[in-house]
Amino acid sequence: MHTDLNEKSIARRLNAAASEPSETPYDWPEFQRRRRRSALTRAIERNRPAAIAASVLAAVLVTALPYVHRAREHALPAAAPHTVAPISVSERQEQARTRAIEGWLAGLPHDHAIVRVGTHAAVSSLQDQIAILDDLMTDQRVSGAQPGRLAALERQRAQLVSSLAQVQYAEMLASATP
Amino acid sequence: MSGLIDIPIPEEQIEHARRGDVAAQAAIYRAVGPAVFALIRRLVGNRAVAEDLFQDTMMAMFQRLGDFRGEAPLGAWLRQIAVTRCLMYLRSPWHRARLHWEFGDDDPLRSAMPPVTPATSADVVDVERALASLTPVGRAVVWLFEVEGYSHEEIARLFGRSVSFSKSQLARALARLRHGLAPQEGQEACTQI
Repeated sequence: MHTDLNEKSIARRLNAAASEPSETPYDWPEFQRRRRRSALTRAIERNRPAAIAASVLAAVLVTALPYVHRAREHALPAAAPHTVAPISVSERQEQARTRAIEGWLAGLPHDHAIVRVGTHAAVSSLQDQIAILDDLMTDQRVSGAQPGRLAALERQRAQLVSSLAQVQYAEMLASATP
Repeated sequence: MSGLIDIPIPEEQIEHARRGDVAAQAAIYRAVGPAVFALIRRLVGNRAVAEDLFQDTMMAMFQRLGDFRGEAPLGAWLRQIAVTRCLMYLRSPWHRARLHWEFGDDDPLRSAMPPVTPATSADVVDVERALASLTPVGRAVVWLFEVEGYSHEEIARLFGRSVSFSKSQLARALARLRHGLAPQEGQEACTQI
């Protein structure tokens, strides 16, 4: 029994407790796993504003595009039938960039561990709108539309593909988090 | 001392770890990890929080290994990282709120007490129990002063407070430890029977 409890004896007992053998809470592989997860979480945190912005943009586009589509259909002038409009250089560049993004999208895994309803709906909606635009552009080319109109549609399509890529990227990061 | 400073880490191992050699990093982790966790556990009490701070400290060590100049032992440098992180946690308003929510009507000893194994001596169990009865700040001050060898000036600087704050916290913590470690009347009676 300790009867002389001055500061020195307390310090001695504290130091004796400090010299007791101890262990890490987890081993090195577990530390590495947590380290990677932490890095991933930080990456998601860094990309969160971009993902939110992409989602908002996608939502706005999904809402607004049918109206824009209808308005353009009404505004398109009647063109000479059976004349195919030439594709401009800028349009070709835009198409090349979009094709590169589409290539990246095609390489993504199709089955995510976690499927979020909101994101899934946004992705489906964006894909539908891209398909509608593709049909519209084909019609315009066949009916010989003005190059400016085609370029505008191409830009719109490129924006949609870009939004889709951002949403898919955010989804990929989110589903990679345990 | 907690022993962290005395752990020998070969310079070449540090150099390899600095260059990203995973085997060298693993060896350093195994060498210093137990002492780092023990120190953090003493300072913050709660095991779950200690695990988070341990992970944070070890990650910071590997990230900032390039800044380590080797003028002091690696353990001393690492101890500074761990202590700074623990005190940042103890000083945070979030921590104070959490203590209130978690231990409002509960016994804080259950969480603050390190696990007792069959190998743990009876005296160490008494010390752990007495330490767990201290306030988190009081426990950190008494541990830094009596075990880690920090001065009142250093403790005051770490807490962002005055030297008298450190002295008064230490005096109060020691008084409580003295009370907690003193032989109890009932205990003596039991052992005599």
